[in-house]
Amino acid sequence: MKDGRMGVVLLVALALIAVMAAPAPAATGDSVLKITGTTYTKWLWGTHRYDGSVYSFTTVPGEGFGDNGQGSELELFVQARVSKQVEVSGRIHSRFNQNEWTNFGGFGGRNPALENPPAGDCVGGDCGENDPRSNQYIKLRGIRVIFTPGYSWLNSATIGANDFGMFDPVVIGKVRYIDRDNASGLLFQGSALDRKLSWDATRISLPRLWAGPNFSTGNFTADDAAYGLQFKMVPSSQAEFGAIYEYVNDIEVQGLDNNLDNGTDVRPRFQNQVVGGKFAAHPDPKVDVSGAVYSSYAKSASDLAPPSFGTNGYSPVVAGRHFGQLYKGDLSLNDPLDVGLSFQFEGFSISPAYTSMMAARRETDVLLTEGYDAAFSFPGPDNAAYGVFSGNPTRIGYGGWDGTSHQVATLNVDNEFTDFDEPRAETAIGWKGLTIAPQFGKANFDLSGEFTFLDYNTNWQAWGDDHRAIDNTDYPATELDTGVGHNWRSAYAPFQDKTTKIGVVNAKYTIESGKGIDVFAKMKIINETDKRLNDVKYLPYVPGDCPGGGVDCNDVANNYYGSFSTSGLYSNPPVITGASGNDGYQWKPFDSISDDDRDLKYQMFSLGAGYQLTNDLYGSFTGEYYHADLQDGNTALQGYNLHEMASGTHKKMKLIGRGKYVMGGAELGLEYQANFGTFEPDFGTGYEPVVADAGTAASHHVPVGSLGFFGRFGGWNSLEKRVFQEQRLKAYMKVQF
Amino acid sequence: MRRAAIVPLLALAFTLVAGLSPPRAHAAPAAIFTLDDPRGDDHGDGTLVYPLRDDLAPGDLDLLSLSARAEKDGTTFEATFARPIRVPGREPIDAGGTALDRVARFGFYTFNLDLYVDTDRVAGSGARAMLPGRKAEVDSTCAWERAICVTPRPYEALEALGDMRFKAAKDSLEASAARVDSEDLAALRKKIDAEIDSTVFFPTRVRVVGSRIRFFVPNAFLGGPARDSWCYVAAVSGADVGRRFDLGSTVLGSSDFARGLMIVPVAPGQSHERFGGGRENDDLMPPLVDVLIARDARQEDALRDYDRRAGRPVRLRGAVPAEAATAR
Repeated sequence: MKDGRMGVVLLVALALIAVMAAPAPAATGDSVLKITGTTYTKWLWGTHRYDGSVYSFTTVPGEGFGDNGQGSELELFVQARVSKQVEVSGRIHSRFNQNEWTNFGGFGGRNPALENPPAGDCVGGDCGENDPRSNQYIKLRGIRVIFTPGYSWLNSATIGANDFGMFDPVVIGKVRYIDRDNASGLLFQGSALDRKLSWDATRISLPRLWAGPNFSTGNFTADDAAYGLQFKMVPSSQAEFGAIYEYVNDIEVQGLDNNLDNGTDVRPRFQNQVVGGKFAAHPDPKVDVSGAVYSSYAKSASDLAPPSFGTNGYSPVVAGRHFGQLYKGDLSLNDPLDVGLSFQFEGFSISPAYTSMMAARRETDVLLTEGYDAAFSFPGPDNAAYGVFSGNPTRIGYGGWDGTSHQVATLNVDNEFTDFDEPRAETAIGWKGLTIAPQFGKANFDLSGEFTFLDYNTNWQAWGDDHRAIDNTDYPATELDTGVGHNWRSAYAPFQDKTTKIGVVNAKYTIESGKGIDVFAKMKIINETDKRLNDVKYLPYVPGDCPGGGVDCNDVANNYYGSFSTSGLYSNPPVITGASGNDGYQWKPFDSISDDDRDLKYQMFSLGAGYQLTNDLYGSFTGEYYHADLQDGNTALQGYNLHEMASGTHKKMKLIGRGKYVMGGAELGLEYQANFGTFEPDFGTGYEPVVADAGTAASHHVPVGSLGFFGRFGGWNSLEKRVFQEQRLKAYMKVQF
Repeated sequence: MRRAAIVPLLALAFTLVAGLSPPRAHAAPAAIFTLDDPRGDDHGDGTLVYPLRDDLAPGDLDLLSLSARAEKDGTTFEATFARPIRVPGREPIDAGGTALDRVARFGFYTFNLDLYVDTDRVAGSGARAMLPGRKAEVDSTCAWERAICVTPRPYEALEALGDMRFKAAKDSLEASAARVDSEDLAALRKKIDAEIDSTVFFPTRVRVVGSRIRFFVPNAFLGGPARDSWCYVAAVSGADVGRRFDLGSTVLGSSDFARGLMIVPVAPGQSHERFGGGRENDDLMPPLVDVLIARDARQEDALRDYDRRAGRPVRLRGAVPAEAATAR
């Protein structure tokens, strides 16, 4: 399948054969048009006072986000069974976007097309009817026709929209819920051997918005596709075997083809292949075993896609040509002694270059571990990225998202257009480790836990290849990983030597009173160390380059290979006069391999109770307390020059009240949070703090005269204790009809 | 908290709970009965096929056994399925991002397990109709006094059952009475709720362990611990965790949503939303995937034995564990 054309021909031929050979429609006595629908109304309120859209979070350029706003959306699901063999369905759907009630129906507003100079992105519905995101547009979605011809070998052929959830989350994953029918393609599903053998074959039109290097599929997109083929063999319900293959072909017009008389040649921009095998056995209700192995190949054309990245590149795939692997094995012992005690074990390893363009981006959890908590999702203490530069406040808010994280096997993680009460996904690329999860249940009492040891296949120096410059790597670091938790989309760092241990104990007891009061508690501990740069040969400058005592550094670079040095990343500081009146360095010179060390001691405790007050009404209240003592490099690392430093002590409290009420077919729900806490910085020594002048105070929202320091790129890190307070609420009403 | 504390901490917690008490205290009490069901019969009458959705596959609803153990103040039933029970995760199920595990918060979401219990063992005494949407009856020899419905959203199911029965009774009352006052309706609702409370139980003490699900039924409902001399019919169906107000029945024609109690229906062909393999123009084909019935009855035959013209639904004969044990 050199460029996918053969695959297309075969699939189209298969489709035509299947459709044309379908028997004439039988009596259509059961033909019925069904229209069902859902209306969903959301009310966001929060003390950040953002009102860019009716979603809590996005990083998509040009889109708004907000913790305030009210909006409604409607979807009508139309479905018709034309005959026993043919079913048609589609949706007509509006979206929240910036369709806020305050738009008064989406009229008027500024018109970006007439603005000179441009007044910026449309946010908060200010473009009214001049922007489809605020003029209450209705979008046609999810059109598909399903053929069920009744052949012994073909169960169904689906032409059109699909969420492709029938494959495998680490190869072709289910498309996120809000886009669940945005992807389209051909899907054939069949079986043989009395349904013991089943197969799925697909051609998915490659989403041009994100399914390629640099979140793009290039200029010529119409023929880009992902092909998938999957077999499952289930000889009995006690054993199953599977094999899967994926081929992604992103092509471009061949610019060197000068003879247009015979058509125009194409050439690959990005190609990706994944092959996998898996098994599962259930020899006894007390024992379940499964295992899976995948191997991937990815190749980007260096002239059509990013040939490499600097120290902070963004892309959903690695650059260049790479092979990757993913291994996973699970063993479950389900109350083997009949005493209520069960165990789950999981071992896994995902290599740095494992690449599957269509792997699940969120809403699927590929690992047993609960991973990191979503309360700390970005590098800054307040969950801001690039917060040292003005104009980069937190988006998701100090409280982050709720709960724990889904792990996904892709760099292409997606938490866009979510609210704070939704789950967060984090990349597990590069992770390897072992999880043991015991569970105990007896009468009204449940106890479960987890111990996970994480090592990393991305533990390397100089991106694993010190024959290249430090700002020339195939790996997109995507903001880099600093801060208390795991930055959800960062898989790589230039230097890493990291281990993580996660311990969790969950307890739940139901008090027999009324309908039963659920009391639940949790304790979680994360201990993590990362020595990052751990070899003196990678230090940026020669020993003694900065003599101290207010004397300028000599700037004699230390080359780790040829002329390559890390001095461009960790440049020397100038000498300044600090707030103390002494002359010294603006930040600590990076002259020790301990300057970037990370040491995290993290504890989380929660206690809550829930009660079913009536058959219609359930309410719960939870208090979560987070405490983190973090050393995350000193001012020599300074959050890779990009982020607010997080070294110090973090204390965070989340008080969460939830309620849900069902009334006559409508569901109403509410989540209220009061989040508050402190951050006491400890950025080490070896530099001279300065005070914020009026300009710095205004741009960085700190008091005039407060202490801090300016980093290499001019960002400001405050040395003052920070006190956070945040309240937010999401209420919703859902009616399905 | 030192890092070395993690492992001992976990070990300590589990040791305290699982290890400190004498082993006898943890040993499960002897089973009152165990009823077995053939493996691989999760196909209803033999023609039913699973929906095309990705989170439901053959074996998931294949009931292998049902057992009961006496506990303090009640009976814990245990149903074993052929494959591990799918546990709801935090994946969103609507446009607002509502997580599945907040809707189905009892640890499962793909099936309903109904258990109809004839406690008086008097033929013809008790109810025959199964819960709404099952499209089946229990044979009069095993007419039930108590029904237990293990469903992912028990409180909502209880409420929905009350609504359905109230609507039917109200329609009947309005058709027969000269005038219906609000007091009449309030009394009717109260009567129906009391009737449901005494005859239908939706367990909320539910625990999923691999391919097994355990649920507790109090003595107050069953009148004592379960007995092996009682007659049981168990029926497994697909669960629809959504709750949809039905416009279809009044505006656009028939709809299955309102007629079934959180059950995935069956339809001709194959579909993502329904079980496939249904017969055309057939309203009586039960959407029951697996049933545990009398030992000498064949499931496929039993689920096929209905009369569309006469409006006679399937009638399932129950299993009496004590008799089954004797027969062995």
